Amino acid sequence: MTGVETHPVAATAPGATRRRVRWSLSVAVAWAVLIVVLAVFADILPIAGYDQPVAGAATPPFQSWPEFLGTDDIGRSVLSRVIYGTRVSLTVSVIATAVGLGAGTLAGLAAAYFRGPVAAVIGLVSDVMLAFPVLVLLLAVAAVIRPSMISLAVLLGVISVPACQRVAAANTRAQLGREYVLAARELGVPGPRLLLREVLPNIMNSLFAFGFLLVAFFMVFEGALDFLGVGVPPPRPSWGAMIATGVPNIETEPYIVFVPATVLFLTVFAFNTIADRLRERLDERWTQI
Amino acid sequence: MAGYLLRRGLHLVLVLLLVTVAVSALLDLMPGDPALTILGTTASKADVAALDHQLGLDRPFAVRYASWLVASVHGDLGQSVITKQPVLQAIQQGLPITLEIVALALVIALAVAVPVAAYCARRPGGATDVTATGLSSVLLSLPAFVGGIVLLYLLAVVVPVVPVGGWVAFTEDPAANLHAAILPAVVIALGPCAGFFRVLRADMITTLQQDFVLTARAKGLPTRYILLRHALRPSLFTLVTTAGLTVGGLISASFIVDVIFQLPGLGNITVQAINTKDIPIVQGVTVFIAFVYVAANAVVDLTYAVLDPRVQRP
Repeated sequence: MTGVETHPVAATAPGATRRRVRWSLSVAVAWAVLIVVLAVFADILPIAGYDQPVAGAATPPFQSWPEFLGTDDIGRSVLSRVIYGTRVSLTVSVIATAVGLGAGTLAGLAAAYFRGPVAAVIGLVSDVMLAFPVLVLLLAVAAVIRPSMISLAVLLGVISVPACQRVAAANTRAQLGREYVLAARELGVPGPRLLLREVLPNIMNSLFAFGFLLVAFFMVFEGALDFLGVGVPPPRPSWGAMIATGVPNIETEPYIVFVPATVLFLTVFAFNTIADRLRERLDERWTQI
Repeated sequence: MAGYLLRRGLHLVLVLLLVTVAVSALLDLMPGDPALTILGTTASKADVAALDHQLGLDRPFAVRYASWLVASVHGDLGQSVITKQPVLQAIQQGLPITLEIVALALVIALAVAVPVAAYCARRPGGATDVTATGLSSVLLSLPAFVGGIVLLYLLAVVVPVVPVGGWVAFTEDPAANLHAAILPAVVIALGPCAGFFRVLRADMITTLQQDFVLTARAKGLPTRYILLRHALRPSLFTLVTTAGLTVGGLISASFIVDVIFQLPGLGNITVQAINTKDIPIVQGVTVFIAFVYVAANAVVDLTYAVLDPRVQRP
């Protein structure tokens, strides 16, 4: 058994993979649900406000309750700030995903269905937008206008439209040759109706999986902007900004950096895992048909 | 081939032109008056108007864009509003550092990803493969600024072996230069490395199921020879594309490590220019990076056409 496996069946060990799939998916979903619940109910949880000092400055974790994650350099509860930080992270990434995926899907459906000038124009606009050094441009824009949480989200969404458009177009092209599309065409169903009522429901699952990937991507991106000091303006706590403010004192109070960093990582990991597992299931379904 | 090259070339020029229009327009639309920023809010209206005129801000956008474009085609990207340093010179100062880190990161990512992917594709689902695939999911979820700080903490605080931060020019001291560049490069290489691994592993598994691999096995060729000489090359197409597309992302990521490790690369130059509203610098750097990005994609397209002549079809 030291040679190259050439037998197709051996590509993945089915039993092992399936068990891993179910296990990792449930853990990822549990963490994502926890994060969402914390963000939604932050105001009624028995925790201190994110901007009030509750104890001495820089108390290490596990010294008091409910601030069991310690306090930052001016005595604010790290736990409260991380929980309120989930709000910023989730709001920005979910709105951005909705904007990008919504507009990108419409553009992708159109680009795949209407050949000729429509596809050419959409393709060119996509190429131009993909050629942008996005982070650099966002840095410039964000530094000058200090966008609010919502406008930052919309901005991020707009930037992701070309990528979403490509995914939607690729999925649409895969559907266009299928019998139900040919049948609908023969019956004289007009283009827009065919795309929205027939094709869209069939590519929805793939787009949904891609959506989780996008949410994770935007969390990282928004975190990076906050980290560089041009994201959501203070006093709203955000994970990226918490990390950035903790870095100078990392030698003495590493937890101020590592608590938000860990939460950010776990959340991104959870969303990526959900996206991966959803895609695996979709692939499995297609091969079964 | 000539027709294909011409079409790609025209497309490239068109994309670049639209990029410059968009960058200029976006920077122009931003509120805030550069003259006010430079002179301070106490400046008199006449002074502001005079500076506006000197900077050319009192002319219509189209005129300003046209003159900027003509000048930049001649290699003149304007000069910094604050330091009066030519933009091209500022880019030339930061570029070697950014390029070195990006190139080093690309080399590290490929050097790790290719052998590991080939080894894992040999027996998918085996212990090594499951470990490497799991690790790649972790790395793909690790933002560059988090990974950077974790490494910074480990190497500067826990086990202080590497001097962290700062920069030494290659011409001054090559060893110290590599020393300063390696950590930032590793940080931004982590994510792409995991991405390359996944892409190549998937393609290798498909290739290894083909008949010519079975033939090679039947001839009794050693496994390593089959993996590297027979299976690797036909599996490289997606990796080439991914690597080309990653260059743009690596440049953006290098901005973040510039800040974390205090390197005088393009990232630090840009962040400083943003803080002082030095629009010509921001405009110059943004357009320049867009240029590099588009050029990288064009090179990928061409490599594709050379590797596989069928690509020229459309």
